[in-house]
Amino acid sequence: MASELIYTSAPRGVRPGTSGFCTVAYTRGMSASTVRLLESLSAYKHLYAAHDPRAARNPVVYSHYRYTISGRSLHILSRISAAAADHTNRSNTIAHHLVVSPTERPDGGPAWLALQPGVFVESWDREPERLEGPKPLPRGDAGSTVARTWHAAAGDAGWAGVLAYAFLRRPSDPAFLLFEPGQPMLELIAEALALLPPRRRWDVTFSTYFTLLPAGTTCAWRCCVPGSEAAREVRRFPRSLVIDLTQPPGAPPDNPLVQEARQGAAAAQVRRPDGRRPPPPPASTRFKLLESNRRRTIRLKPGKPGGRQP
Amino acid sequence: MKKSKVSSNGPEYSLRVHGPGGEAGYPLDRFPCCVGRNPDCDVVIADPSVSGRHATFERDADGNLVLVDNRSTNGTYVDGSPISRLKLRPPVRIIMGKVSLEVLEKGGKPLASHSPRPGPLPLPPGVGAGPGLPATRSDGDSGAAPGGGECFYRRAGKEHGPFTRAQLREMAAKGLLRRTDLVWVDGADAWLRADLVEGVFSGVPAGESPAPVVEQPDNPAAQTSGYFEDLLEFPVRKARGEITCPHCWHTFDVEEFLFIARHQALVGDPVLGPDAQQRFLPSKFTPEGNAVDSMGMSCPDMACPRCHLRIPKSASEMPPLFLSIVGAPASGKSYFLTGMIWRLRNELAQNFAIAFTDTDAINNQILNDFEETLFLNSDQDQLVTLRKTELQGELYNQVLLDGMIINLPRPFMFSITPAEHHPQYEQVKDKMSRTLVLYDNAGEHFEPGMDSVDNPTTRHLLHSDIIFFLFDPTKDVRFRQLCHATDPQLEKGARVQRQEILLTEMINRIKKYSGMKADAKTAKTLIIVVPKYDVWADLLDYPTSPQPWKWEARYRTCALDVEEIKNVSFAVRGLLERVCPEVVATAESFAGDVLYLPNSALGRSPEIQPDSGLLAIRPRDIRPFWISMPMLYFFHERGFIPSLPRRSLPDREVVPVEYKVSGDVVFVFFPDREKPLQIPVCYMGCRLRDPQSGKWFELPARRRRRKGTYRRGSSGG
Repeated sequence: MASELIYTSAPRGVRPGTSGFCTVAYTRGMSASTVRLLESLSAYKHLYAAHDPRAARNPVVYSHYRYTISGRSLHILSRISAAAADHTNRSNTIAHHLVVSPTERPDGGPAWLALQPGVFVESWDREPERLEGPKPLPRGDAGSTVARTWHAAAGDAGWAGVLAYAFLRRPSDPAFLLFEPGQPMLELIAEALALLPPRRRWDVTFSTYFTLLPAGTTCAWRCCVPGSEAAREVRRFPRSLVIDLTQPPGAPPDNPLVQEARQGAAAAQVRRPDGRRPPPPPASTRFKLLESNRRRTIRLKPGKPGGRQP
Repeated sequence: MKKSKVSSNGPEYSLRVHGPGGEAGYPLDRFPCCVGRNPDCDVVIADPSVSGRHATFERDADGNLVLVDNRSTNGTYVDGSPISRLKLRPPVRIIMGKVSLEVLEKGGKPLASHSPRPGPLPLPPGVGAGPGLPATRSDGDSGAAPGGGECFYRRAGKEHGPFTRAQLREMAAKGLLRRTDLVWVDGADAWLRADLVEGVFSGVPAGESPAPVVEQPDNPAAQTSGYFEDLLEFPVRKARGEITCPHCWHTFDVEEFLFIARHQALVGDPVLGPDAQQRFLPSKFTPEGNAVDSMGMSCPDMACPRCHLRIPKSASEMPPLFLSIVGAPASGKSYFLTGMIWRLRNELAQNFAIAFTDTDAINNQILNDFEETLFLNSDQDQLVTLRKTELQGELYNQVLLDGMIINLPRPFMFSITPAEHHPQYEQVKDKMSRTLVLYDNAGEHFEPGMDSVDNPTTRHLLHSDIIFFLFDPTKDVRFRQLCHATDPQLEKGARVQRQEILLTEMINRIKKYSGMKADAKTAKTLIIVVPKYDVWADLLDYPTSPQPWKWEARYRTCALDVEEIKNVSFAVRGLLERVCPEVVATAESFAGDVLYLPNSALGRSPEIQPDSGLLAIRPRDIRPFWISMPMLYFFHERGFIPSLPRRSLPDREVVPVEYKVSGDVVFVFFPDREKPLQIPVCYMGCRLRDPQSGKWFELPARRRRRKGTYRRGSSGG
């Protein structure tokens, strides 16, 4: 169960007298300080102006931040994006925040939860309302499978393991993922999180379109558009991991999670005790045409058994 | 001092602390002994130049005394050398920030230079000075000053000297030497802030600083003549060089400026978060006046001591002029601001010999992007729009103050300086050089209930020198009924709003936070900007000249036709009074001087973009009208722009009228009319046109009044 708040530009907000950018729905009983915090997290920076023909490609922000409010540690999972023109015929955005308490968080992790259908609303054309009860959250875990999205985006699924391993080694150092609009950043983060033990997945804060660090929190995994102000900040963190998904990053450095990302946890676990390699995946998988990411299409050649291809 | 709980065997030592606040001695017999500003340290030194846990005294396995620097901001120096960990052989002298410490063997005598009154501080080796230092002293070889011991000081990049220490002390006592000046004393390797050089300011009460040079009554600027004498009426800078932060409006002395560390290792700020570079109170400077961070890097950037946000250097040197733009959502504030800035960049230089430039391109990035979208767009036929101003995000800075996350509006800053071809450049450059600070709030911020302690985004209203309130006629039902133009903003169902409520809310906020009495009027100038003039132009019964300024040979710049502007204002006021009188009444109950100026940011109606449903405009169609006029008038009020001298106008034959001043109103009696015309006193001195008869009449000039708070009942005639 989670409390939630929806923020957009509308003719009327929940609070009397409010209009324009305002809160249009929130769970009854949410404290005023939490409402203010969530509203302060609702900013969205358009990459392309609303009149730009590329406006539809404006990235969606999926973020997970941790806050302590009134002594309680909370996880805030958000979806923020550009929205259709508002009632004044001007540009609009919509933000939907979920406040998850530590006891309610599913094992799958924040990115897995954000990927579940129906978790977030993407538009709002209703009257303002106070939501009567907390939102039920799906529970479960994707399990540790091959990081196929990473393979498509970076040419090697092992990069998911590099990202996850960097967090385990130095959790306080942010990692940067440079991406082009259209790349499935939430899926990439979900696959990397799946490599972590379930109890550590909710320790990772992230933003799939990082523009500004909100006050009072940290962001461990930051997805930035190359050339942006946020991406230029990379220079200030010389120890940080930077994965540039806009150009082939090559072979990843090896670590235990890299193999797991390439072969899936189950396969890696099978191999570990006796040192034998897992059986090759079915031919249909090995020869599958991967999804285009607009920039280039990656076609997999048949690999040798035990090679990098999933 | 708190006692450490762990004692240790070995020789016993004592610690003497010499700080700005005095001296103190402590036994150094329990280890580890942490020294710092935090209350939980074993030796607490309440000085901002000392880090929270600055350094620690320890015993090593052999019983030796060891000093460890805890990565302090300002570093730890032993006998003039920076240390990270050092075995000490007392007696030694240690410098932590501004504070000097001595470690002595128990019963040992204090070091000579501290008895009875300390001599010069053992200065740490210069970072950025060193061997190159003598070369920076252009007159350093001119011979030692009488009394021996060369000393120099630097201010605004200029070096003065040599002086003796006694002379420096005397200058400090007389206020000729400022605490923030950089001082080099004989034998030193670095420039230090004057108040950090021991002995120079001893005996001078803290906080006493000389008045800035521009405040001297015999300043040559005071010898100006002609129109620009008006400049002298306005205070430029407060006596002690107070700075007002453009981010949080905290007022502080220049010596309280924090500097922003540049070394990559110095990251993490308690106010700005873990990603921000550290802020620190400097004790060492390079010859150029930059602070030196604890890793030895030169740091030119400064920050507010309260909100820790960066303040551009030029903004700290040129006093601010605050401008607030207020208006309902969708009243066109961003378009107005963008068009106004774009026009001012050109008009001020071309016509009024004033340079108008970005103070800081980083801060103005958003506005610059807007200008490029509307006025420098490569595709002049593309429908473009400015995005709706948000209540969070890139227009705001989030800081952590007093345990709260606070949104502060990000200001746009522009430098206003007289161009070198200005007719009285030398005389007026100090007075006219200002930083214009303005804010683009979302309209929602001005709605009732939106002002809160963690969201003080409209608090700039308190500090503003002028307020532009945008009254959008297309949002007023009564105006819409009168307008016949075809404009999507006038269509049935388009949003309407009672705008005098926002005006009242603005007034209430100013009165609440400034402590103004309910019946008092503000000294701020209030301009009611009536935008979208292209939509309602046919309702105004007065012709508006597109450029109400002319070349004036006497000043060698253009001069503003203030009388014409006031006539337009008078006509717009009459229209508003007829259609929505509550707006006029509310505005004039708050400010003594209210001007009503029409303008159009785009010069034509926008259209709806078919795909997105957004209101948009083609750049080639944009023809701003009177967009810069509110600011030009403000600059005229400030004395930056002259007004046209009074001239005879044959087409404006004046009829004699009787008048009577009562409070802030002039009653003008026409022979054929029972009810007199009521005109605010700010129109006195003008020839005005009677809106009913079309006849011209003249009001005598009112007595010039110093800027101050207007009170009801005071005579304005």
